[in-house]
Amino acid sequence: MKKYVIIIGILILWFSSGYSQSLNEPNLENFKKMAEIKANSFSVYISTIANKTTSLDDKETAIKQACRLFLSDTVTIQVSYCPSGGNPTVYSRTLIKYLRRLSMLNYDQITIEWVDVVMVSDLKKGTDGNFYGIISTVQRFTAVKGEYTYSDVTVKHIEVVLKPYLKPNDQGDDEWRWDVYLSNVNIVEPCS
Amino acid sequence: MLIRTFIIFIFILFFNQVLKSQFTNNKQIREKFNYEIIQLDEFIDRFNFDNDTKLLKYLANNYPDISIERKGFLITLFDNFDIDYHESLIKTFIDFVCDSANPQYLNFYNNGWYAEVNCIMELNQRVDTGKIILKNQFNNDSSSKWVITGVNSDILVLPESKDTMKIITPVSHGTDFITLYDVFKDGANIQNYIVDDYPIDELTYFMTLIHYNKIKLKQVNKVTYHFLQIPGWAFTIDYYNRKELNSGWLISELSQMNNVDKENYVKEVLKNNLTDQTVEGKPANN
Repeated sequence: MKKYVIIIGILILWFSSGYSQSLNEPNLENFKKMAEIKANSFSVYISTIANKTTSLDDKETAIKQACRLFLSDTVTIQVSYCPSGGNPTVYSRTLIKYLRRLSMLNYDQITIEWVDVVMVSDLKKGTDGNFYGIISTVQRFTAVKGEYTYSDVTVKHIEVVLKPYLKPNDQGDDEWRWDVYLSNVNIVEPCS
Repeated sequence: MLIRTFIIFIFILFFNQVLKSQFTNNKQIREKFNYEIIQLDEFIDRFNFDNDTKLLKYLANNYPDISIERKGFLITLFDNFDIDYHESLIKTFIDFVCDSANPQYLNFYNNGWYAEVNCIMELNQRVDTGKIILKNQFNNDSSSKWVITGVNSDILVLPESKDTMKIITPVSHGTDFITLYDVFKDGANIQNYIVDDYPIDELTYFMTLIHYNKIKLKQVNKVTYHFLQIPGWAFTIDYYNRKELNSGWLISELSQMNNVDKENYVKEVLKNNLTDQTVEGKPANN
C-alpha cells in the first residue's frame, strides 16, 4: 500500500510542476486529468484507511495525506441513504471526521473499490475567477465480519476546484500558479 | 428511422429488466453507472446528443454494431416508469426537438431554467418544509454562479397578531407618534401596524432572516430542475434513485406552454418576480 502512496505522491508532484500555468491560461484539459488523478488517489487512501491490516501510524499518515488532496479537512461529506421502510435521509460530516470514522470500522476485512470514475462535464468558470467541476465515481464496498458479509454500491460526486495561488519562483519573486483541489463530496446510496 | 428508434428503445428497456436489482459484479455496476444520468450536465449533453456523453462512449465501446440516433436517445431521458399516460405528448415533443430544419438544444449558459431545492428550514423553534429557487447567473466571459431568485415556505409568513387591540391610535399624530416606540418592541403584533394586504416579499424577508442568523437550513430533501428553454414547451427533471438502468436525472413532467403561461409559471411556481428576462432563455446581459 505504501508503494501506491509514494507513486501517487510523485504523480501529483509531477502534474503540479508540469501543469502549473500562468494565471490567465489554465490548461483545463490537463487540470481535468490532474483532478481525476487526485480523485483516484483519494480512493487509494480511503482503502488504506479502512483496511484492517493497516497500522494505526500508517492510517494516520493516510488520513493526513488524503486531507491534503482537499481544499481543507473541514469540507463536507454528505451521505444520502435509504433506511428500510423510511424516507431517504441525509447526514453530513466534515472530511476529517468521516475519515477517522472510516478508520475505526469494526470489520475483519474491508475492500473498497472504485469501479468507474468520470468527470461528466468540463471545468466551469465561477464569477470568483476559480474553475469548478464534478467528478463522479461508483464505489463497491465489501466488509466481512466472521461469517457475515456486508456489501453496497454507492455513487460519489466530488466537487473539484481549480484556483490560483502564489508561489516564489527561482528568483524569489511570487508567481501566480494554478492548482486543483477536491472539495465537498455527496455520496448517494441507491434506493430500491 | 423509426425502426432504429424502436430497436434502441427496446434494447434499453430489455436491459432495464435484465439488470434490475442484480448488480453483483463490476461489469454490471459499470453498465448501470454508464446508463444512469448521474449529473444534470450529463442530462443536458444527452439531450443535445453530444458525442462526449458517457453513455454514447460506453455503447460505442461495448456495442459497436448498435445504431443510435437522437430520437431514440431522447426517449431514454424520460422516466420510463411513468411514460404511458403521455406517450403521444412525448412523441410530439421529440419530433419538435429533432426537427431537421430547426433542431432544439439546451444551453447551460442561457436563461430559462431553474433549480428548485425542496428543503426543511427552522425559524424560532418552528420547523417546516419550503423551497428555494435558484438560477445560473452568467456573465459575458462565460463565468457564472448560482443565485437565489425566489423562496417559499409557510415559515416565511408572518404569524397572525396575538393581540388585535394593539394599534397606533387614530390620535397618535397629536403626540408626534410616541406609540412608535412601543411598536418597535412589539414584534408579536407587527401585522396590526402595517397597511392591509401589504404584499410581503418572501425573498427580502428571507434575506433579512439569514442576515441576522435567524433561520437555519435543516436538510435538503430533493432538487427539481425546471426547463423553459424549448419554445412552446416546459419540463421538469427529477432524480430517480433506483436500481434500474432508467435512473438518475430524468424528465418527470412535460407540458406544452406558450410564453404567457411560462411567465405565469415563473411567477407562480418559481416565485420569481423579476421581469427583465426572457422566459425561454435567450442570453441576457446579467
